[in-house]
Amino acid sequence: MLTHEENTLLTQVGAGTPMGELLREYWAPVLRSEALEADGAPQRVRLLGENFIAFRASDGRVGFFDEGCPHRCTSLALARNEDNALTCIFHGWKIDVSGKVVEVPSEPPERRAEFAAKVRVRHYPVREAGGVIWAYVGRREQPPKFYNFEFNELPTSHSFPMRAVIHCNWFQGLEAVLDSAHLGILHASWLRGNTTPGASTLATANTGPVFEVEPRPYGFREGALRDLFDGTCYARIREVVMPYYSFIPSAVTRPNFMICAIPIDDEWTAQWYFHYNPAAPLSAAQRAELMEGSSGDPNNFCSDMGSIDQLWHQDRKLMREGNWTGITRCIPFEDFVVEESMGPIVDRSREYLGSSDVIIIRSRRMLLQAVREHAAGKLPFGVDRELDYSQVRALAIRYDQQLNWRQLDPLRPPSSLPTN
Amino acid sequence: MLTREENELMCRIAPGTPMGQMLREYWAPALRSQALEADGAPVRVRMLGENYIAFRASDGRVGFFDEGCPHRCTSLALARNEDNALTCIFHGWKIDVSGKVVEVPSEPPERRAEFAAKVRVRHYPVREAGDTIWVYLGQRETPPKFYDFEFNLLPSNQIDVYRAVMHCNWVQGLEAVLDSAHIGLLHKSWLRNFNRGNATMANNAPIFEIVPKPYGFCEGALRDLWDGTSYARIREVVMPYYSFIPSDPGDPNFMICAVPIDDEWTAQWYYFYDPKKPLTGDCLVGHSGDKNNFCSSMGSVDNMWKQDRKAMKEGHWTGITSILQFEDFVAEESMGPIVDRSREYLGSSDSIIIRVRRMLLQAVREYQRSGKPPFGVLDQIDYTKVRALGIRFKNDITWKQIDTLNPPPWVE
Repeated sequence: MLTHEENTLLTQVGAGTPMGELLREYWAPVLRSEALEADGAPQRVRLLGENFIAFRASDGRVGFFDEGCPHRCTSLALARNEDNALTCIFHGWKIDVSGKVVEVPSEPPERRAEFAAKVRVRHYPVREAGGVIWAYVGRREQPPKFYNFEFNELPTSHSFPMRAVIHCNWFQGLEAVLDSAHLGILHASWLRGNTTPGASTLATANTGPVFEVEPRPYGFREGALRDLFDGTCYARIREVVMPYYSFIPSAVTRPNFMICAIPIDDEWTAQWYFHYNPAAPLSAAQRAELMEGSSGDPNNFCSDMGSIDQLWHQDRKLMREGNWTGITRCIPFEDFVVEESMGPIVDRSREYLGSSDVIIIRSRRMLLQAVREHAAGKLPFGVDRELDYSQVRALAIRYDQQLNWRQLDPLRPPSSLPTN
Repeated sequence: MLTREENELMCRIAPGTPMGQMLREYWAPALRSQALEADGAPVRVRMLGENYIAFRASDGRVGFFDEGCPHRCTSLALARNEDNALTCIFHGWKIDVSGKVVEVPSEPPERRAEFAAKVRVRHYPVREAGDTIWVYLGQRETPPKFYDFEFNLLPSNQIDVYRAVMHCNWVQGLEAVLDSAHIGLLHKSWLRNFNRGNATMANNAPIFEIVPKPYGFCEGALRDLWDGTSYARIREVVMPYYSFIPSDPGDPNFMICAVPIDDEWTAQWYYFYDPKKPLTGDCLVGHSGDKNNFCSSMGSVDNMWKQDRKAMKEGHWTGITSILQFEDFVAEESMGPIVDRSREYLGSSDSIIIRVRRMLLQAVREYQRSGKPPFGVLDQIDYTKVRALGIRFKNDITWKQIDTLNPPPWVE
């Protein structure tokens, strides 16, 4: 439970808000690489309550600017994209992919060069890795070190990023991901069918896991521990990289998995699903399986999920016949639907938390502390520290209780007892 | 005409506003009984600017809770409805129809019982009567006496209930109902088809007389027909928002009320009922076909409510041709979601509207001061005697002598 003031501090992400300023310290995924085509249509990107434009230049480089033309704010989504530059259709101002104004045909010929040199385009550093375009929209001259997450070092053949646009605040998106306790309940019908990427029937065997946490410089490592009452333990070990990355355990046969909740604005969130296999390419069949039941568009795989207006197509007949939620398309939709159903910004002064919510409580406390300290000038989680993110990996494992989960190395784990 | 401050005070009904607090003192119709099915989908209900969930349990009882699950505010519209309880799909918390948390499977087994006992669910008393589910959203431990309106005591085959969701503030809904002067004007193209409507149109400027009542007032809209007879439309207004409207002899009795959904939306309820015999067929035709929102087909300002200019040229007064009630709704919505009453210009035909505004403003100010809700809601008022009447009578009696439950015969 939070006060209204704390909830506002946590959820408001626009420019000038404390959380908005904290989040602007970080690199963020903004688009799938495939969404941009050389000399193709520029794409509008909304991030942290502001509108940007992304485009791929003739030579393959990516430009990332404020959406409005520096002249009179016409949307550059309408601009011509050619010759490694965007040209605004209104007065022909041309901005090259590096963000430099190179033509201003609306000015008298004799002063064009001088004039163009003076116009500043707000443009932002980008990186392209693992099939995703990342941007830094913060205020510092030098962006922080780019994340060397495992999936960012892999060829695109080894990873499959998917993005979903959900109608709720980013922190609702994050909380659902942090909340391991819902797995065996919300997703019960899927887990029973055992067709789930990244989950196990063992999560339903004990719906009240015990949580233990180990702090990390970038966030924390969490063990959701389920005593199976036979001398063994089922542990789901997660890595949380603040402010919004959660590396989630997957079953042995599945690709590795990370979810993050990127704020579009106060009431909309881009929920990214990164699937990757450090050892081998993902086959077409694996990619198809990961998309199964979704809209089929990896740039917004929940675009046809529905909304509260038709209760997300919930099927009451199937519920009577035994399906738990009546949300039958795919597992992520069950998560998205409950998150959206709380309303665009849930009022956390009205909730009642239990011991299964300790991770949520912890994360809120961490972020509230970080945002207050950041407003006082202190850099948040991991920024400007030489951290090696390539070692961050999640793990699901059933092991003998003689062991302690903290001793398990997710990159070199002991062999798991059967989990199905 | 009101000042802006008065208008705000009268119209705003969200939690924490004076009028919002006052209206929460009253039982209110929330949804039609038929909207809920035992073990069927729970239904979202928005009232007084807040969201609720209503559902019918396996045994037929009705539960009425805050929409969000007490745990993390997931909408209970998604919940499973079975075993006389709602079960949230997110973490399986189960709340029985009485509002008690009975299962919390996300907690460790040994502390579930103790934990569940501590969680408070905001749930509200309901009554089912007059084919309607009523709810009390106020703070009092014991809700006020339930309305024993005539129609609330009838079997459902003697009543026919309709609800319409309008895009305007509740006072606009109420004012249109109170305003008897518009009948012969706004609805003139419809009244030509009615048996006795010409009595209304014969004199477009009625005289209004008022008899105060503990719950509101009784109003006579009197039209002298210059032949030794009068046409009286005797209305009963039960504050804050019920208006019993005269119907002609032989037609079903009739009540309209304007129940606030939020500041900009209103549920306008139409009750038709016959105290003596079953009704045959639907009392309203030509609407959307959905009695839970019979104006869903009406359109909006974006398409000018489908006003038919061609029909107007050919003689139709309003060009709103689907059903008479839409003429009212369209006029109300067209003022905007919350009309600015500092910009109007009222005449003598508006005296009832002026009176009701004064009553509401006085009531809400007095309520702010004393905390005692107005209009007799905490008194044991007998509402069974409240009935409207439309009658043409000889001028040798006055309308105030007429007993609406046992009226003299209509004079042709």
